[in-house]
Amino acid sequence: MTALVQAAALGKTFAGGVRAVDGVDLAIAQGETLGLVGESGCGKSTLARVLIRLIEPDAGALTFRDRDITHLPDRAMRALRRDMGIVFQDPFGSLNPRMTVGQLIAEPMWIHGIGDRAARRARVPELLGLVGLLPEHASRYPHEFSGGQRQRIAIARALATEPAFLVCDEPTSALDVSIQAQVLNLLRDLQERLGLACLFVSHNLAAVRHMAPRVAVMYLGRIVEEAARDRLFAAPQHPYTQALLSAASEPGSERRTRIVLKGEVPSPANPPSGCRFRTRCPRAVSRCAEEEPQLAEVAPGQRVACHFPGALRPEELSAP
Amino acid sequence: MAVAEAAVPMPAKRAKPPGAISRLIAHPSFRWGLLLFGLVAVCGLLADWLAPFDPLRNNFRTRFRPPDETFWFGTDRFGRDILSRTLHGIQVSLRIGLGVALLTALIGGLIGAVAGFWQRADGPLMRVMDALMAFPAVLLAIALAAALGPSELNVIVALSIAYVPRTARVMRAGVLVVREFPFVEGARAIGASPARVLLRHVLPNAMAPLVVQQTYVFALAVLAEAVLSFLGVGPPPPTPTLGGIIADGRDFIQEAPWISLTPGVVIALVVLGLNLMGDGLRDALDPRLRTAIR
Repeated sequence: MTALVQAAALGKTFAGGVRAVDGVDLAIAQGETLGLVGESGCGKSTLARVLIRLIEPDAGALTFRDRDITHLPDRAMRALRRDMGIVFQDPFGSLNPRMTVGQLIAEPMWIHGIGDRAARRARVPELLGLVGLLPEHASRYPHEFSGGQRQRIAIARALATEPAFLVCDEPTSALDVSIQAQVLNLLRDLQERLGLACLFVSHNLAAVRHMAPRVAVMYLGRIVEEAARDRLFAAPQHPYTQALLSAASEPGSERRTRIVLKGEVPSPANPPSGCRFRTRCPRAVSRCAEEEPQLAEVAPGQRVACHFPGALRPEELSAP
Repeated sequence: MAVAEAAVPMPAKRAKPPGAISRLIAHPSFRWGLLLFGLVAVCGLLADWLAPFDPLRNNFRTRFRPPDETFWFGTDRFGRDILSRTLHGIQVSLRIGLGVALLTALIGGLIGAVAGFWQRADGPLMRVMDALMAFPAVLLAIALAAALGPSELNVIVALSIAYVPRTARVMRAGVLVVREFPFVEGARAIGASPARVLLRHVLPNAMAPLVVQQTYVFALAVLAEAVLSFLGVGPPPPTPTLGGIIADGRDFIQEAPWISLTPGVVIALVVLGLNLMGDGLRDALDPRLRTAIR
């Protein structure tokens, strides 16, 4: 299994010193979906954009199809975007209001010189059908559609060039709950049918669990744990993952005891020394302040960045 | 750039932002402005047919005639019909106003778009604009028009240089806002070149303030043209210009006030009409209003 997209020690520091992404190692194989969860502001959206160089990384290396694209010149990078797509969070802002749906969907094909005019025109209804819209929608403008429909349009646009890698940056968090499941199912269906590699970013654990067989957890610009979905949800090893999972209520299962983290998320401009999570971690000892834990395999396919990985201990639980 | 007009053709074309036109018509000040400006403009455009006399022909037997049934707005010291001269003067004013509005939109729009879109160009371009803006526009135009020599084209060029900074600023501000919209990132994500992002995605969504601004520039140019003509650096005589007619009447303001009064009132009507239209356009195209409705 060779990786389609690979990040090594990838980093991005914004002006003002905010280290949004700091030393991330990540690999996504052809046709694989990786879920990326974390709370707001942990850098997951930035990481998603850095992976397709919508934001330029300033540390580490990025590989796409075994080709180093970290410093690929703009022109070559633009050509490469044919193989990458992104679906944004906000379906109301991510479509140019002055273009028809047909123009929006045909534009990526035009840019990459795919097919002639007639072929592109013929492909638009096909793509609309693929995402569950009707051919006659092509002549309408985005403002005539609901949020869920717009997200379908955005998906059709992202898939127009038949990319190998699709980034979904919180594609459902701006939608009504009743619509979210439809869009999620569509995305999963398309991902399987087209054999897409997919990075699915969300703060919604249920959505990630639904979408991704493998999940990475992010905290303050770093990946703290990464494992197969079932393993991660059943036996999380990092105390942050445990806290995150306990915060999500799960219908159908018995109510878990919640771990209530103390304090606030530290500023990403000035992260704590050593382990970033130590200021809020129930297990933190002096070693955590001195030495930064690296991602290490604790079980087959499960990597954790913690000096004291392990199952939840009773004394770490607060009262229900 | 071929990229610019490469709109992907789609079967059915529909009106762009629906509602904008009807909002415009419903706006009272736009209606009044259109009425005022339209009335004057139509009179000017039809000057060749409407003017009862040749605006250039001297007639010493009809000098200083006060308004009567033959000369509705009187005559000047050469016996020329003020109405005919004013009608032809409107034509000149409109040509110059429109020319300045279009030329500043083109040059100022380009400068503003480039400055707003490419941060590296922003500093140098806008400092040049600031330097131009430091001069009072009319004073700058007078100096330029005097240096270029009196002709209609030179007046357009001089006024355009004087008014370009305002247009550039408005355009830049619009581009700075639209540049941050998510669909611009989306355009980059599908591999659109910077030129395509700017021309196809940013500019069409940043034009509204420019359109509003250019109606004001039109009004300012009409006013400034009158000033230049009044001072004698406008289109050379005997071309009838509104400012020129006012200047003709200046020495006889006590005895023959109708000479200066007629073109003066016309200038006021044109400028008032254009400003009212600009206000209406501004309200109709206001992006805040649009998002509220959307």
